[in-house]
Amino acid sequence: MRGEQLAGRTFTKVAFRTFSHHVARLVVVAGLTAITSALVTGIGALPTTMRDGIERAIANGMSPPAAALDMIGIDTGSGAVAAPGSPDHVLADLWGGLLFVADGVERISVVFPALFFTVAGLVIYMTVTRMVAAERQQIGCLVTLGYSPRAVATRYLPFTVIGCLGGGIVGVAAGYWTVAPVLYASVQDLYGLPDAGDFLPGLGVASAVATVVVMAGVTVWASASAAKEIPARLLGARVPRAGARTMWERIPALWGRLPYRYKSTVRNIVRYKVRFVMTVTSMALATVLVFAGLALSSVLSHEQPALMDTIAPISAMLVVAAVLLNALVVHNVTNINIEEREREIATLKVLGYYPHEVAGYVFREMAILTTIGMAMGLPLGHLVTRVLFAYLEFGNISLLDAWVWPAAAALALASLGIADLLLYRKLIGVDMNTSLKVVD
Amino acid sequence: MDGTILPLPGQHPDRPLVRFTDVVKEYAGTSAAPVRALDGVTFDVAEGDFVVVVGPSGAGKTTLLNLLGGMDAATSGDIRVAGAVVSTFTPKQLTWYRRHLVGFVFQFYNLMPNLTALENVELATEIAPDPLAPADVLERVGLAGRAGSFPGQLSGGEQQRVSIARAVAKNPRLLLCDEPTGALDDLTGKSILRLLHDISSIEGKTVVVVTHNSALKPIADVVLTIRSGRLQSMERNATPTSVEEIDW
Repeated sequence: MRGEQLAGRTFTKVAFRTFSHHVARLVVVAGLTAITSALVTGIGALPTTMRDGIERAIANGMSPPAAALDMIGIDTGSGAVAAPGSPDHVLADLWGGLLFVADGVERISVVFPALFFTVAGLVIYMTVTRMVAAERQQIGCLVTLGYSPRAVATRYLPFTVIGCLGGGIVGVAAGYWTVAPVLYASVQDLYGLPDAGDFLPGLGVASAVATVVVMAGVTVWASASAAKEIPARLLGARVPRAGARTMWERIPALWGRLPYRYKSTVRNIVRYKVRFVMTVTSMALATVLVFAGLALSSVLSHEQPALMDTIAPISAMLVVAAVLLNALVVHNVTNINIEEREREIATLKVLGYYPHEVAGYVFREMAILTTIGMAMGLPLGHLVTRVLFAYLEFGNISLLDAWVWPAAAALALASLGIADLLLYRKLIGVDMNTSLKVVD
Repeated sequence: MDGTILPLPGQHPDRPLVRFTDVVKEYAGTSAAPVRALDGVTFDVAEGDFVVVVGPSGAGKTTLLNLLGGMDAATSGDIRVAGAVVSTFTPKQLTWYRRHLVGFVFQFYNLMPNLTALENVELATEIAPDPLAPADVLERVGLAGRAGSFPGQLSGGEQQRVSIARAVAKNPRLLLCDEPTGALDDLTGKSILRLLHDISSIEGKTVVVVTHNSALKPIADVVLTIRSGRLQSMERNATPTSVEEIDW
């Protein structure tokens, strides 16, 4: 049956063009998969490599440097470190303290990347579903021609698979050859370990494969469900959600005093619930990551300066990555808001709104959402840090410095600043002629 | 309503409200040569006139409207509105110009979907220097009973009335309308034209309607015919026909 044909020549051509139309989205998907895979690979490989290094050190009769033992609190007495060639069990005792460090790194290497993976997954999910949404008319066209939903779904599958797979391969490679050696080198210097043996990229490979599988599923689901819609509705304009009153309006004392632009903001926030949940969740998760990273550094600097040197670079790395990732989520949602409201933005400009007033129309909403997410993330971050410390079997939450709270809040909100800065030009650059065009 | 229109500082009462002198607008084309959308257009509009700008698609009507509305800058020539030399304005000054002097009615209404009819009018009055009371204006366009409705709950004609109320409530010097009846059926379209005409004849506002529909010509005080970027003719109707008598 013609309609069941999966790969005619023209159909393949159309599929290929999907790539060129959505290059930016493809870059986001591949880039995120790459970054996540690189981090997970690098951090995930570290504990095994450390243990392997320690074993080989013992086998070679190497002794840990006194300074390292000092740092982790092993009393070296009058500096009597085992002489080269000491019996294995003497060396094993000395290195044992450092194995403890490897255990700590291992636990962190699971917890942090898992949180990170969640946020990255969220962005990729949004990007893929947006891509399918942007292709609604094309999907409608294919469906009316007689292509089956299954055939349409396969059209978008290569986009995700190639993006995630490509990103995953590059990321695992970068993690294996760059992140892992760099991390090991910092530990090696500190503890006098021998040169690294092989790095095991297992965790990174697993996360890359998981990304490919999950996102392929999301793509098939999103495009197949779009293809199952009535073609007439796909071909027609996507009707924007109607405005509606919110429960807040039942409190006239509050609502009556709001300027119209805040009314619009409140209604928009309630109107797009998925975006609300997504932005708040991402922001809260990012705040948790940032808080935990800072808390780890703060507490360790008081309690275990030795571990601090190993873990600080990892947690700093993750704090920065969390801020950037979250900036991507905020950027994505803001970008969707701008694209969907181009007409409204153009109209405001025609009415004579100044750029900063127009910017407020879109950015105000995101500022409120991110602040809610941040406010939820801070106490949650405190809770997660406590649980983390219990799991890691070190760290006393009462040693937490007060600066962690405002610093985590500021870093989390930096995401908003980055996203707004990147999108300001696009927002104020919206062509006023958009307001004259046919509604499509 | 306060219908008095005072000349802006520096404006002589005898001068026309709008004066285009040899206005040219070019757009960068795909090839080396730029596309000339307006090719030396010159005309005047007196205060209180009901003007219809007519011409086929692609003749340059929208370009003329963009320049008149301060939505785009001319390549050369001189544009003056209410004494202001709009053709020399920076983007920021153009925003000021749109905010203070121009009211705009769109073909597709362009109401904010998540604001009620009344709030859509307030959207404009909040930034205007000397606005009219939003509820009063909504009543004048016949929508007092729908003030709390969202655009999605209104018919096309009702939405266009809100759009007109929003433009009028700013109390602008110049009301610009882009195919205001283009998306409406005949009867609704006529009622909208009646409303716009009354705003000009009863309240003395200057109204410029851009359309491809020549049937609107008889109701105008002044008809500007645009063809291939040039002003083909400019005619004054001594005795305009009433809106109810035209047929399209």
